[in-house]
Amino acid sequence: MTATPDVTTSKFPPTAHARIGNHLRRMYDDLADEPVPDKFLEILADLESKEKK
Amino acid sequence: MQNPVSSGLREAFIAQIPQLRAFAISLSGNRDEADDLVQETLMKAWNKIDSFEEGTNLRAWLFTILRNTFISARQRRRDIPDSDGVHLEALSEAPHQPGYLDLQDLRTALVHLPEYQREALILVGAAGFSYQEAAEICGCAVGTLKSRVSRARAHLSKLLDGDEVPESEKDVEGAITDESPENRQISRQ
Repeated sequence: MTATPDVTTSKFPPTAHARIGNHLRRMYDDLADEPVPDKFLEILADLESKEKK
Repeated sequence: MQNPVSSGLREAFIAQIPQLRAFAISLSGNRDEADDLVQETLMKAWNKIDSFEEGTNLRAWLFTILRNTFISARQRRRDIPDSDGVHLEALSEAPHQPGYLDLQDLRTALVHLPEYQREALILVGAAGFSYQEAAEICGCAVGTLKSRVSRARAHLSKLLDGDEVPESEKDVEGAITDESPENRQISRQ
C-alpha cells in the first residue's frame, strides 16, 4: 500500500494540492496559537469545583 | 461522586482548547459560533467523561463531540428538505459572480464548501488526523471520507482560482441536506 497522493483521481496538479495543504495548515496553526480566552478556563474551573462538593 | 481522572482532567482539557478552537473557527467560519461550540463541547465532554476510555485519543474524542454539536445545530437550522430541495441550501451559499471571492482568504473559501466536505478537509488537511481517525470522528466509512476530502480540495481549488463554477459542475455532495436515504446509500459505496 503506497502513500502517493491521489493524482489519478484529481484533475489538479500535485502542486495545487500541496499549496492548499500548506495554506490550510498555516491557517489552522495560526488559530491554534491564539491565547485561550479566560472564559473557557473559568468554565472548566467551575465544572471542577462543582464536582468536588 | 468524584471521577478518579478529574484531578488531571481540567489540565487535559485545557491542553486541547487551542486545537478545539482552531477546529471550531475553521468549521463554522464565525468566532462567536466557534466559542459557543467549544464551550458546549467542554461541558458535554466533562459531563460524560465516564464514557471516555482512558488511553484512547482524547483529542479525537473531543473533536467528535464538537463536530456532532456543530452538525446538529446546522441540521436544526435547515427546513426539512424534500428530495428535490436537497441541494438548494448548499447552492445558495456558493458564489454566483465570477471572481466574487477574491481569495487570499482561505477561511472565507472554506465556508463555501458543503459542511461534510469542509469538516473532512479540515480534519485531514489541517488538524492532522488520519483518514481512519477522521472517518471515525465523522461517523462515516473511510472511503466516503476520502471522497469528501478529494472533492473538498477540488472545490476549494476552483474557489481560490476565482473561477466561476458552472451550475452543472457545482459539487454539492457533502451538503448538510444531502443525507437523504438515497444519497446516504450512494455516499457509502
